[in-house]
Amino acid sequence: MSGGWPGVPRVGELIRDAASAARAQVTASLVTALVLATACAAILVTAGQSAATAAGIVSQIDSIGTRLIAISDDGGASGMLPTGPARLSGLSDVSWAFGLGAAVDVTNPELPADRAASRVLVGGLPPDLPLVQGRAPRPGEAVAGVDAATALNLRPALGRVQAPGADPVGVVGVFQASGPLAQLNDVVLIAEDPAQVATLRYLYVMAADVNAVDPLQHVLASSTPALNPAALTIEAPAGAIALRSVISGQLGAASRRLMALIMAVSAIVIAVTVFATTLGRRPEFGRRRALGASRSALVACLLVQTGIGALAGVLLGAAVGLVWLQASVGSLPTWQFTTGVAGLALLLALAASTPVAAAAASRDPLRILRVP
Amino acid sequence: MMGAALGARDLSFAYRRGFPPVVSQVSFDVPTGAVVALTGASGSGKSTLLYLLALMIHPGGGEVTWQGRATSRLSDAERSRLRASRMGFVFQDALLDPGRTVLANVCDSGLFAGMGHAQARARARELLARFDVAHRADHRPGEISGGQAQRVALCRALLTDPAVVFADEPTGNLDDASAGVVIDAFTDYAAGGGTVVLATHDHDLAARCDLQIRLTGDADLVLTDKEQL
Ligand SMILES: Nc1ncnc2c1ncn2[C@@H]1O[C@H](COP(=O)(O)OP(=O)(O)OP(=O)(O)O)[C@@H](O)[C@H]1O
Ligand SMILES: [Mg+2]
Repeated sequence: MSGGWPGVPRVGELIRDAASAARAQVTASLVTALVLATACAAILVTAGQSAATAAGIVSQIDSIGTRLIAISDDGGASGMLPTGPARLSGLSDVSWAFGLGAAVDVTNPELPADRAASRVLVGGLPPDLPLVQGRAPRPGEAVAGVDAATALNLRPALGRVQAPGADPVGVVGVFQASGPLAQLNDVVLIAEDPAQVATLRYLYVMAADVNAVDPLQHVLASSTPALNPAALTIEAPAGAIALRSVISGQLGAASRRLMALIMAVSAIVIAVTVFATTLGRRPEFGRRRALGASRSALVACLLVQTGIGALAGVLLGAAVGLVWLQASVGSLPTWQFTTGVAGLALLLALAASTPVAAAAASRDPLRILRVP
Repeated sequence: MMGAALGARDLSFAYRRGFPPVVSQVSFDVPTGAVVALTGASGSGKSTLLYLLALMIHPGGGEVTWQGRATSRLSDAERSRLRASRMGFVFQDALLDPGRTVLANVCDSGLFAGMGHAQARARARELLARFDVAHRADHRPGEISGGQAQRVALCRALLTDPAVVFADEPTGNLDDASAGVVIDAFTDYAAGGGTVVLATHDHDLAARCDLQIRLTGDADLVLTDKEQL
């Protein structure tokens, strides 16, 4: 007379049993879930906020001109051609390019006592010289930097400027530059058709990406149209680029260290939690071993049970972390990062509970039952 | 009677190294289909012998045989599988899970045997009704009497229709009527081809068994057939 059972629990029944145990031992499940939720949320928020901080610092560094390349011909010896801006802005990796001619003093014909420098502008007014008044100039029109406009008493009515021996030019706008272009605030820029200009003294090129600056510098050395390109000086902000990579690297390392610390602390807390709750269940293990639970079945039961609490915690923690980040920094980490953190935390919880479960399951059933 | 369901060959056991053995060099066979009583004074080693026979502890020496085959070389997984699928055990103190209902406790043995949940519950309810504890199915072990707990433990042992049922003082907490139901259950079980090994102080119960194995307290034993009584 025997039921002829296989003596091995069915997987579905094992999961059902673990789920009911997780419900029955609600305190242990809640503690596991809370620990996991706190760990996940803390990691996501830390990572998200330090990424946002790093991005903020880097964009601040970028705003001071990590991507701006200046080509100059101070003495006028290299004969830089006015076709440069059009040609260079056609390159991939270049956001914009404009060229400036030699400086010529101008005055306001209405109030000729004050003077300011003017330069011919070829290639259009770039977005980094934002207008604070008026509009962008067409060929034959001028825009003044804020300081030049003040010096020449052009504000608020604008008016005209005139170079000695030349016709007056209408000023149609005032711009205010910042960062490395701020020096142009002292200058009046007179837009010209390239065909009307003999040579340029300066050419500014904005790279689309900070990583493109280095290769672009080499391209510019050979493809800037000039009669004697060898005499050109090409300057890129090497120091700023280096600083940018050092700072973003250090910020990354710091946040990785912080995350490793949070994960290590979480792992310890999880292990201690699972250990403590498991210790209290020794009689249960002994009883179930006596009923015929194998070590692996017992460990599987405990892992599934821990997993249920841990999964609930991870989901809760990820949700809280993401909502928090959305509210505080307004941007979310990638889903790969989020699922990576969640998966890692889950694995960590299971890994931490395995040795405890295995130790509890490794002795003779009666030794657990009869030795307190 | 058929061959031996299980047996002992020169079986010895001590709880601690260097202490006098609780079981020493005992040998006997338990025939299939028999109800066997282990008797002897308190502390003589009845429970210990049951644990040994049910493969819950490893003997210090000798062998427990299961259907003629030695068990000492079996892996833990194989021993567990035998316990789960072929044995039922009623502990002296019932040993129910205080956190689960009576019904869930009875179903616990089915889980490890590989029974399905629905089937286990249906059979558990049948058994609880047979031993007059069906009305306590949804109670916790803390809410039932000692005798009821013992019967619940018996239901758990019988759930999987095991080949051998071990019962440690199964009538210890029972009145005569309830004890009668339990004894009848064992007799029925044996009549159906099952084997029952029970430890008891109850002379009437022992007298109704097919075979008595009396532990003398010197880790020795005396076998008595029913016919000789
Ligand atoms: N875990 C243990 N460690 C050490 N000695 C133990 C342990 N369990 C039982 N013993 C001892 O082993 C001996 C046999 O115990 P056992 O429980 O087998 O006796 P028993 O015949 O079932 O007694 P009772 O009739 O009182 O239930 C006793 O002397 C007991 O004190
Ligand atoms: Mg006993």
